[in-house]
Amino acid sequence: MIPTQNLVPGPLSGSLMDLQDALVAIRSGAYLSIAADAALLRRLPPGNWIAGSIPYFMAQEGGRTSRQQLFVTELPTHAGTPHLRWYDMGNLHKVALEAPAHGLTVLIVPAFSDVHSRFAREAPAFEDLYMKPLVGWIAGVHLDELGQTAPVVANGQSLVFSSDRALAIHIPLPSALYPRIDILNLFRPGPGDTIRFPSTGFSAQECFVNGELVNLAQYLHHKGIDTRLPLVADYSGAMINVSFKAVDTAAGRVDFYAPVFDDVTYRIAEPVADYAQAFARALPAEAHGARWSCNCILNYLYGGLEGQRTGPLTGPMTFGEIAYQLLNQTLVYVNLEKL
Amino acid sequence: MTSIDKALLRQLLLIERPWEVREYRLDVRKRRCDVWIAQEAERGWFGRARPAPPGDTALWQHLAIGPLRFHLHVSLPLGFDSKGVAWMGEPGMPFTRALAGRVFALFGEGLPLPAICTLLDLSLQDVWRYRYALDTGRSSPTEPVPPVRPAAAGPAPVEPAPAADSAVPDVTDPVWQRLLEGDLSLDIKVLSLKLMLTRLRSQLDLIQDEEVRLLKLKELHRYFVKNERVLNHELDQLRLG
Repeated sequence: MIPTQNLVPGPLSGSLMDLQDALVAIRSGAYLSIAADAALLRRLPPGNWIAGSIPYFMAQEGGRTSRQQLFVTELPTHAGTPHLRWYDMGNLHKVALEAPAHGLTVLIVPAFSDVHSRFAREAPAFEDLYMKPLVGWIAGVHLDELGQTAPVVANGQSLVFSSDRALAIHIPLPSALYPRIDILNLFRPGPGDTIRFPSTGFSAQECFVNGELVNLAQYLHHKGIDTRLPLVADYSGAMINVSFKAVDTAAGRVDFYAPVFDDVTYRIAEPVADYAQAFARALPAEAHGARWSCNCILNYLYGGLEGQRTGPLTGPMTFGEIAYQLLNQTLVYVNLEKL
Repeated sequence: MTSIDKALLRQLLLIERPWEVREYRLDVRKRRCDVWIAQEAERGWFGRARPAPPGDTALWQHLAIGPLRFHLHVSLPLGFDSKGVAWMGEPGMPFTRALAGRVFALFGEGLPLPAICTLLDLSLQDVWRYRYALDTGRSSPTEPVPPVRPAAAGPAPVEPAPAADSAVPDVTDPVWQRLLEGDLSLDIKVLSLKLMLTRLRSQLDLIQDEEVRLLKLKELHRYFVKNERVLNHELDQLRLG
């Protein structure tokens, strides 16, 4: 087990806590990653924290929706001072280049922003993206406020909030510590048709089903496909999802929560019977000491995770997960391994 | 009448007739010279210049001269094929072929993007754009340009070099090509390698140019060198070929 300062009580991947406890954690001087409703984040004092808005959590007691509590994770500081940096459309492509040679970067991106869209589409081509460990999540809002309130990202050192910039904390680590990023995806490609897309994007009209050009919305409708199941692609053994956001059969258009890529073959996922049990069963033993984690709001909703535990890992339930690149309906976690 | 400045500039930039320097703007403080170039106007009766045919204006950054960066604004007649012209670039690309060749040579040397930017005084945005075009098969390297030795132009970030007792096969080992082209499958435990290998393989499907394909191979090799300590499982399989 990697030593921790233990300034924040509870699981290493973080705890859901009241404002008073969060204030204590901030005043301890620890570097923190915080997730909470935007109004609550605005009540926090300056400190070494990075935050994003979201009111959905996998807490230590189970799935929970709360506007009164904050999810706080203590970040490792074993080799020098982490630094916070904003990324906009002009410098987003530098996010991995500016990461420390040995370290971990946690990136929070506001949903529905241009930087969200750019990261989703272009991150796989960012220089050094896969060379340096990068995790993060997409900040969101309470689903009752969709379209009315913009998600925010906040820099605790300056108390600057933004809805159109991403914020990273670059954490240097000693070379003997390796932040191993892994994912847990409950979904596997089903045995059905192969689907490819003529272009990369967050929406699609036409696609190639088993090589034949069809309208995707019509195809989903005719096949009676449950669009709570994502498209899944096999990336050399890593199953990567793209979740359906909306299907407009009349307009023949399908929207996604992450872009489909024109060079990837997808299949509709096989159904998952019980999300909570499946997560708990599938979580490998080495993940139990994870130092950071997040999961997807769609797993929370579709899997009925409110009040249920998914194993020992805790974290915000987000509008998108980042493990090097944007993911959907996936649990992401980081272990610090001694080399 | 062409001024001596413009004629000299044309010669310095190795621009040949019928192209001429129409205008330039030198900003010494910014170390930048913008040069507007067009074909010489055709002359009609009594030496009158005929109106220029319609076309587009392209903007490319060219090789620097001393500390000065040159940005060429070139009026291209409709349908003009700039292929083979070193002081012009490919449509939509940030650099002239001459400068792109230098950048590509440094890619081949394994230099990271920030180092290339420092050495050639380029913006990271532009170098990344060029790299992205190469990766997606939208551009290919131009005529071979002698590699620029980093040592000649100042310090640059050091790339990880394999340790003497490194288990990573040499970059010339055919195993890399087999891995990249999918002839060799690995059981991969590291997420970043799964994602990276998938991306490189899909890029390779689009890239025909052998030099760019070699660049992808070097990128994969660099990943293994940097992450050797966490790739024991994968390296064991590589050694077995």
